[in-house]
Amino acid sequence: MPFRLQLDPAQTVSEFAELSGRLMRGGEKLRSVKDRDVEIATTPKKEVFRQDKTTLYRYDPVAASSVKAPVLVVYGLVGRYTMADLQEDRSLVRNLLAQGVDLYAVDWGNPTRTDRWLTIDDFVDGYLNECVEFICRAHGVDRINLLGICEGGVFTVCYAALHPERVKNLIVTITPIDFHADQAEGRADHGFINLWTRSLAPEDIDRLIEANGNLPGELMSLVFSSMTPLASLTKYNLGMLDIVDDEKKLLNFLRMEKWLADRPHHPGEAAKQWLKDLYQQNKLVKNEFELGGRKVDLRKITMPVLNVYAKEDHIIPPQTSRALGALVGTKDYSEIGLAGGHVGVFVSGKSQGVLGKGIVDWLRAHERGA
Amino acid sequence: MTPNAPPNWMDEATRLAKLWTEQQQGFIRMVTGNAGPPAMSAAAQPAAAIETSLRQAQDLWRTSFEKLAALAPQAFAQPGSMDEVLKALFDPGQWSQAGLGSMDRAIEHLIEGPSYATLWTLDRKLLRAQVLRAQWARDLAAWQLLMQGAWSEATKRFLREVNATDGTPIRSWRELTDLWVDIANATLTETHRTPEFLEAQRRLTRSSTDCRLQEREIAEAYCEMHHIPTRTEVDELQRTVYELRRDLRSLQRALRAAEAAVPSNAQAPTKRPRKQPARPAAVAATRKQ
Repeated sequence: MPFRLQLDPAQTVSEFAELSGRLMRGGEKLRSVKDRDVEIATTPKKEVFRQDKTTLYRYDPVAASSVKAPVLVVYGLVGRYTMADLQEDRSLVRNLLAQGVDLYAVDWGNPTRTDRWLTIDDFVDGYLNECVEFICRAHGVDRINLLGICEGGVFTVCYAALHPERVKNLIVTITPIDFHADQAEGRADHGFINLWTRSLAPEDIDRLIEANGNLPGELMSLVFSSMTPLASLTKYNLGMLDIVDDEKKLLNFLRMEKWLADRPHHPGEAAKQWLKDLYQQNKLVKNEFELGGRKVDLRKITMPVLNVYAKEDHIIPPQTSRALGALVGTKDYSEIGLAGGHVGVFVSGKSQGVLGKGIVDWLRAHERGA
Repeated sequence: MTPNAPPNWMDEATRLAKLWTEQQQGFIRMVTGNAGPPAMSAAAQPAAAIETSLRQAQDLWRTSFEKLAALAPQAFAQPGSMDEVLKALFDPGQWSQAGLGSMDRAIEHLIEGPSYATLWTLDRKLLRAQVLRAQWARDLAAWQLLMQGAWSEATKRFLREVNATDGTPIRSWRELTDLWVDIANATLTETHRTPEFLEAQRRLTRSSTDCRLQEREIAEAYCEMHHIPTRTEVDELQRTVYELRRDLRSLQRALRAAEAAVPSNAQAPTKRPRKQPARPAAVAATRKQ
């Protein structure tokens, strides 16, 4: 019986020659790429409000309004909001604008050690609330639509529970709610952050924050990389070489790398709440999570809710997100399960026609009471 | 102590210290004019006093060294004695041992003793940092051992696949590489989820954190010596600024709510004014960084 390994020497030599050629061409291409070629978050927008390091942007409209209440995009503190507008043809922001949504986005800035004392209370009850109030004043409305992404989804859920009178519709995407449901599907490649966080003692987290003043962005990058260890190790010497002859794909790859490298530090006290109260103690699903002295009661979320999750999300496994349906106080709860991974639902070519359209269709169907 | 018993190390040291202190007191009294031979003139008194004192000090030092030399064998005969400590410090055989544990123990023996409130505190901080660095090195070694085990297991699985007689033939270098990447990825992911790996990673995170905090304590000790603000002080200051900002935001919000609650002729108290959703032209900044 022959072994599986049946390398043809001539073909192997030919493959190595091809690889050498790609390495050379890749080197030349990378040398010729300029920063302007891989700019991200380029959709025109204006700064309309600022408080401390938080900035509220309003995107320039490109189509006639089709949704009455404005939409505020809220990203988390683990990454940057620019993921929603990675590049011209892969941009949730552009897709929403093209369909007549009046769109705002909040940018938390780049937290440094000086921001170590900021808590999730400050972000939800403070800065996010100020942004919502600003938009309400600017538009003369009482309620707006919130669109939360990942940790930002948790912020919007908390805000909607604490200030239901200000939220017309709540849309959450790739958002963890039940932080202990990571093993619900029994997938070995899902939910490593949940496992990692639960393996730490609470005082380990306290000392980590005390030593660094924040949850370092580099540490979170390392944790994300270790979820797909070999893919992380080989993405430059194999993955990038595979696409080096396709300029469009190469630039897409580099834009993604740019976003990944732009990982901010997570303010320390907020990180303690995120890791201990939510990841470890799972307080949100128990209605025990406290912000500003008030318990976040998910049953007070009585406005319509749309929950978008990614079926292959290894960072926020689908069941951790879908748990929201059974916990909110509204009966008007819908889900969209998209093919793809955590970031893929925003930046993959396939999802471009699906995500934005799904959100806008749902918003239009909920125009009543505007 | 019986007349034939060898002198006790601690008692002798205490007695010598007492003698030294008495000499110092006598010297100070003479120099300051509180005591001295009455026959001398006032101008000659300090010079004579200094000469006497120096002579007495020389005698005391000589006696002290003689006593210490006599007591040294007693000290070196005790467990963890100085010669063993020095041997441990300078023996290259000790250096080859994994980590820094033996070196730490040697240094610890050298400086250990009663813990005074203000004496040798920096030495203790430095020693503590050394001990924590050793712990970090041990935790890193344990973590690396687990990872090496995972890589070895991946290699075994890969070789088993490559040498299998069933399955799709591997005809190209790229197919071979892809097989290795898949197997290694699955094996490492599997390892990352084991309780042993998670515990090793937790320990490594904790010990590296402890090291950083101890280094900060040392840095802060130097900062305090030179009147430079410490990280802890800056953190406290930032906390104050943070609390003031939070209070300011709260007051601004309360003020807005109070203003909105005042009824005016132009609008109903609970209804917001309807405006065209025109683009806000200018930045409505409340405060800029």
